[in-house]
Amino acid sequence: MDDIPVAPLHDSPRSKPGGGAGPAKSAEPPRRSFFYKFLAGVIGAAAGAVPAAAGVLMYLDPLRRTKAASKAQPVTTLDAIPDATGGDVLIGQFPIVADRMDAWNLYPNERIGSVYLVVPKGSKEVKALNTICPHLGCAVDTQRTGEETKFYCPCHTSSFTLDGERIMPCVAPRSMDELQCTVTPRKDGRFDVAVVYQNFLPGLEERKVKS
Amino acid sequence: MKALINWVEDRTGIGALMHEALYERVPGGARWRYVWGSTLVFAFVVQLITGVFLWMAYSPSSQTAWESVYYIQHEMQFGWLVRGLHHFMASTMVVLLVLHLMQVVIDGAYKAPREFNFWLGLILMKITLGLALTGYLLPWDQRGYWSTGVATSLMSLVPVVGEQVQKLVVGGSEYGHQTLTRFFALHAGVLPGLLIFFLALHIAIFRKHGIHPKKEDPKKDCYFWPDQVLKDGVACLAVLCAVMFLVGLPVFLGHVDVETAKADPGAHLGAHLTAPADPSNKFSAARPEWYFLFLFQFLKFFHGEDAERIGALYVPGAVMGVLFLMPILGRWKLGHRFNVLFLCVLMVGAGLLTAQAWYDDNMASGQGAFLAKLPGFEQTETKLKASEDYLKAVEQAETEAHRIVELVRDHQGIPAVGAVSLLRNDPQTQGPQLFAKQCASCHNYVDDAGKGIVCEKPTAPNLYGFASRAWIERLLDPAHVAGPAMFGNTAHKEGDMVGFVKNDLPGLKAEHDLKKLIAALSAEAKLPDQAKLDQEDAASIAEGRKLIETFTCTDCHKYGDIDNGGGAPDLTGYGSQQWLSAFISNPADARFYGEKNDKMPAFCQDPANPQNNKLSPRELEMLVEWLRGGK
Repeated sequence: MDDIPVAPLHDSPRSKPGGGAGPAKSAEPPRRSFFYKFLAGVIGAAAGAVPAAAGVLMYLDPLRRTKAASKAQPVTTLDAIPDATGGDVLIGQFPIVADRMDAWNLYPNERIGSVYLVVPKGSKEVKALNTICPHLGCAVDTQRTGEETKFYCPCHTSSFTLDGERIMPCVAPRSMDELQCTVTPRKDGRFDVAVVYQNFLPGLEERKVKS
Repeated sequence: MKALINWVEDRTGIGALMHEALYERVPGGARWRYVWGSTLVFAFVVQLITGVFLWMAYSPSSQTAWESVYYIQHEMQFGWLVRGLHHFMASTMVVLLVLHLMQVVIDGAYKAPREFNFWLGLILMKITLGLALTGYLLPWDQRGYWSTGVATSLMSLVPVVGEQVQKLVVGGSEYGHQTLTRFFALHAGVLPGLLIFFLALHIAIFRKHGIHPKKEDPKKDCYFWPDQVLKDGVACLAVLCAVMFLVGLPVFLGHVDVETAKADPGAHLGAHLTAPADPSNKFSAARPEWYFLFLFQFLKFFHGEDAERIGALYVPGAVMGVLFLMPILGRWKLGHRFNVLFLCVLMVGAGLLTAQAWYDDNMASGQGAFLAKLPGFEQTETKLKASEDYLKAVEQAETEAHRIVELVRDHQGIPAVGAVSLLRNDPQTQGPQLFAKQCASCHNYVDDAGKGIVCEKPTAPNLYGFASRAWIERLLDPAHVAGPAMFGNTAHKEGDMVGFVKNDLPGLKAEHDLKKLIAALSAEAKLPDQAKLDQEDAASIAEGRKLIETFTCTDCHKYGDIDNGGGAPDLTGYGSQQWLSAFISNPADARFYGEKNDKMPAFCQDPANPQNNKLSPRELEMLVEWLRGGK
């Protein structure tokens, strides 16, 4: 600031009639020391920093919130998985229903997502796949061409086998996200299918749970 | 580095601009009395910063406004601090405005050629007050809702277009979503935009004319930077400290200890948040923010529509008119003196009215008793009663404000229909209100210390602790059964039960254990508070059940399978949720008093048709739950 020459006060073009300052008769007023300026700067910055810091900390609030760990929850029974393809495997999409928190609101028993359940005919080895595309988070469809059925994402045309593996070439960085799935017998002879539902960060090669 | 600075300077002129801004000449030297304008700018900047961050978390609708503010205050880290700063800085801004206005008028800084700047200042004042008014509603809590309602009601007094103006401001005939969206747009968009525009003009004109020197002294002349900036900076820091002090006031006053405040800062520090707005739950403690209290008080002197119009519109309008004319009047020496005097009278008047408003509300608490000697501050019976009611309403509001936070936490979130549904479905909140409305015209609900819901002239038993061991013991006490807390004021005073307790019971008591009978009868109620006790005394309760026949209760009362057709109320499940609900629904039912029912009405005789009943089934359920809770 000091590099710019200060016009002497009496050269000021401002007109100051009436109660104004009037033409200065004296020489230029003293320029204060560095200490004065430093002090003024620090005090001014401190006063402004407090509300700004409080606001930024409040803004950062979501970073300290993490989702509660998911628990296995019943999704359907084994016999409810339909024979949708006519092929060797049964496949069906099932909703995941759970309590959903949205900031202050609690929405009990809402559809919070869905899974594909895939099981070879006659088997109890059920595979659960999250329906969210691991590429950028669109919803994965099933697509049938001739006899063959595959998973297909309509956004960027990623394709996956019914096991969830990528069919190359593929823009998705990893295969579909498999979820932990358990099949347990019931008293009535049918089987419960339970899934630990989780969402993962899309776009990354590594599977990282959204927290 | 220097080359880069020059390169930027050549293309932007930032350096020259800063230079122009900072090296303003301060004739006569820097002074503390020049800081008020700068502190106001600072306060406004703090409001902008905190306001924008609050904006990022606020949701304006009648189902989410309170809820999002709750989330800011109680859940988000440092939300209480940002909200507290915003709230108390608003108050501080009003104080600083007054100080700035007084300094300008007393120093005569409003005189030619600075008339326009004075008028701009008055416009800025109006905008600031508008910001304060619109901001008060946004949390959509009981206080903001009912107080702002008063302000918008006054708009209907505006001649000719009042009704339309009010409807437009409110966004409909009643408060709702549109009120919030409109108020929020005004508060966060229109008014700050206008304020920035007029503030820019205000500062530009101020710089054109330069500072109005308190005293010319060319030897002491200095520049704005750093001399005056340092003084301004210190003043701004002092303002911030004052506001921080207010945010943490409960701790500084010792109302909360540091550990408690640290554990749950939202519950103790910063701005107050009362229970969510509920149009069906009248809030009698509604008051505007303290700096509008004088206007609120002023209106008490004007009775009727025409007079009200004078108090609410014409007088404040005239005062603003005089303020606007001040620079003209100030041309004459006498005029200037008038201006100073007028402002002083205005301040003293507003101060007195504020004190009066405060004292009117608080006189029953015994606070500020010294004020009672002033004229206009006399205590009258009506005023005392009003003050008592006010303080009671404040207490209830405190309880509800506290309770809603508990409910949200118990519920682990707020239902999508809004937080008010939690309170409306809460027996602990609704029970006493329903009792006061429906039962307290005959029944008392007071503990041994006389506290609770008091009925002026009870004509029915005190229901505090109904069906508890203590209550039944009193019922079976010859000294109390015909007393005012039991059947003393009812038709049953001369009835069989009173006769039995007075004449037969003392003899029976000598031979059998009355305590066991009482425990058994009370256990029928399955009171939540007595559950543990009932479990411990299971053996004596079992014996007590057998004594019900021994004590000849079953001569009149039905109990279980024993029914001698005596026609007195059934003792099976006496005081239980089911029994009490059925009893209140229709006490004249054959199961209860039948034809012997005294004055008690049926409250829910026809649950299928709610319009025929005094209580809805849900209300009945909550009332019973609360009565049985014994709290």
